[in-house]
Amino acid sequence: MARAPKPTNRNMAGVYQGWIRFWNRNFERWLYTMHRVTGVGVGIYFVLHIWETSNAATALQLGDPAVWEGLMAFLRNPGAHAGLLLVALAAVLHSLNGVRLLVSEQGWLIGKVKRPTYPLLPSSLKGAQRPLGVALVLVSFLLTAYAFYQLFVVGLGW
Amino acid sequence: MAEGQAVGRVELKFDPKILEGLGKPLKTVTFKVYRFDPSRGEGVTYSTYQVPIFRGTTVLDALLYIKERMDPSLTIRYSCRMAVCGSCGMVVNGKEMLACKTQVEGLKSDTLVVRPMHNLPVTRDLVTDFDAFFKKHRAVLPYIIREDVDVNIDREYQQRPEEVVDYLMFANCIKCGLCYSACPTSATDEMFLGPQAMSQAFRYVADSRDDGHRQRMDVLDSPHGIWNCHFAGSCSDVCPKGVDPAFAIQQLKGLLIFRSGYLKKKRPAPNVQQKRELVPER
Amino acid sequence: MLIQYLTGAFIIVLGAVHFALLTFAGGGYDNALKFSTVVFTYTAYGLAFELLLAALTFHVFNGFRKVLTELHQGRTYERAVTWALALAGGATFLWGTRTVLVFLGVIG
Repeated sequence: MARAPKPTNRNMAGVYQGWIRFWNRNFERWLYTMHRVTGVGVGIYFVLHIWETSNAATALQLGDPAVWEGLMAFLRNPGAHAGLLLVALAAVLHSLNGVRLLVSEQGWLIGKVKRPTYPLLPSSLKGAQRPLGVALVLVSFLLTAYAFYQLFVVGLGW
Repeated sequence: MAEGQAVGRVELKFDPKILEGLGKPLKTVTFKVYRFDPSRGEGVTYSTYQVPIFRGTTVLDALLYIKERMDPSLTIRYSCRMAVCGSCGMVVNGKEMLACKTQVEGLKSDTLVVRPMHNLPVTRDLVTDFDAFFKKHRAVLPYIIREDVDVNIDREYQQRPEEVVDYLMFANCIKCGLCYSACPTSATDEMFLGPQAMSQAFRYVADSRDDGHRQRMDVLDSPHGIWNCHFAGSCSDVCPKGVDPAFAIQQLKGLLIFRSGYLKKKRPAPNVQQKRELVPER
Repeated sequence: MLIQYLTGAFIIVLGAVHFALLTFAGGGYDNALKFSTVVFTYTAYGLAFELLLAALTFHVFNGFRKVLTELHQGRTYERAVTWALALAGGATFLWGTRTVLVFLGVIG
């Protein structure tokens, strides 16, 4: 039997079509992209934060609070606090979606097996994990609103 | 572009009276179809066709219209035209679907961009090479595994109707490849098993007649195995048979971590010979 | 993967503690970043910070590793990525531990 010629077009969807382009698809796909983006974002912030807070230890070692206070004064501006607000939003979204993933990846809240009937709709996308997903996004925005209050009203005196 | 004008080497003419049996065309839809011919070495192009759409015209009908009356060089794969063979999977306007099952009217667009499914090499135009896909399917040992399989080959295994429901929806997989195309992990990870293979692993793990879950778990619990699934759910979203691979995969993860989930301690189903008293006497 | 879940859950709990300390201890956010408050918080809760650091370092760098190995495959590439991220993670963990130990008075 003759075989088809070896294909030369690998045709992988790639990062844009696969990871980024979520708008024409299901809600969980958006949560996947968001989880990935927030994870990388908070991860980078984490490394920078470890460096930033080590200045407090340096200040203690040198016996000179100005090392720390100077850095804090430098960062006490709307731009830096806006960045922190984004970090807060990312951290909360990632954490709460992580809880949702922890639960649904044990096989909970993803609907039940049933005898297939028309229309053949997937039960996992109708299980409790979807309203949980919507709820966690809303809660994240509420918590970020609180972070806004702390960062800008309390922190910057707006 | 006028109907009857061909893109390619052959001029086609047809008698418009042939179309009268279909009723009046509802509208004309522009089809932009992905073209790739490895023997010509030109890379990917898109050919445009104007296709009249009638009541009930599916994407497959439209592609066959193009092939029969406009451009016979258009290469497509199809067979049953009723969503049971899994041959005609393709991506239309960015979403995976079976061409035979999708009504053009239902897509609510006057321009349709048709391209082959993602993540599998393109053989030509809309046809993809399924070798890697089937290789991954075979890797999860998609058959009943049990120790006494050679001993009792002339007797059936017992299975209650409730036990059939446990795996029935996953057994409906027609291997069309739409889930594999929609999966974000498969988009960049060539070694990833893919939602189809993993849902079929679950179909056998959930089958009460099977005793091979240990071997399958070893295949799944590997680098580029089940843990690269992040529950984006697009596989279940595009599956034309409601197989719900996302459900299967999350159940498998639960089994792997805590050996729990909705499949409790499993024993392979005994065969009828062993439990003769349960078979009603005629 | 189990460790990713467990560290994640751990981080949520300890992170909430860190956030609560920042917002409420010492009388509000604007006081929380004063040097004296920082010294007090670190000396009192140093161990909690250290545990949070350990969990976060693992979770973050394992997460980076997953993203990078999904982007490209190949044995040399994967090994290189794992080692590079392990080193970066180790360095981050050591630098953070140095901060905690200075405050706890162990080094300094």
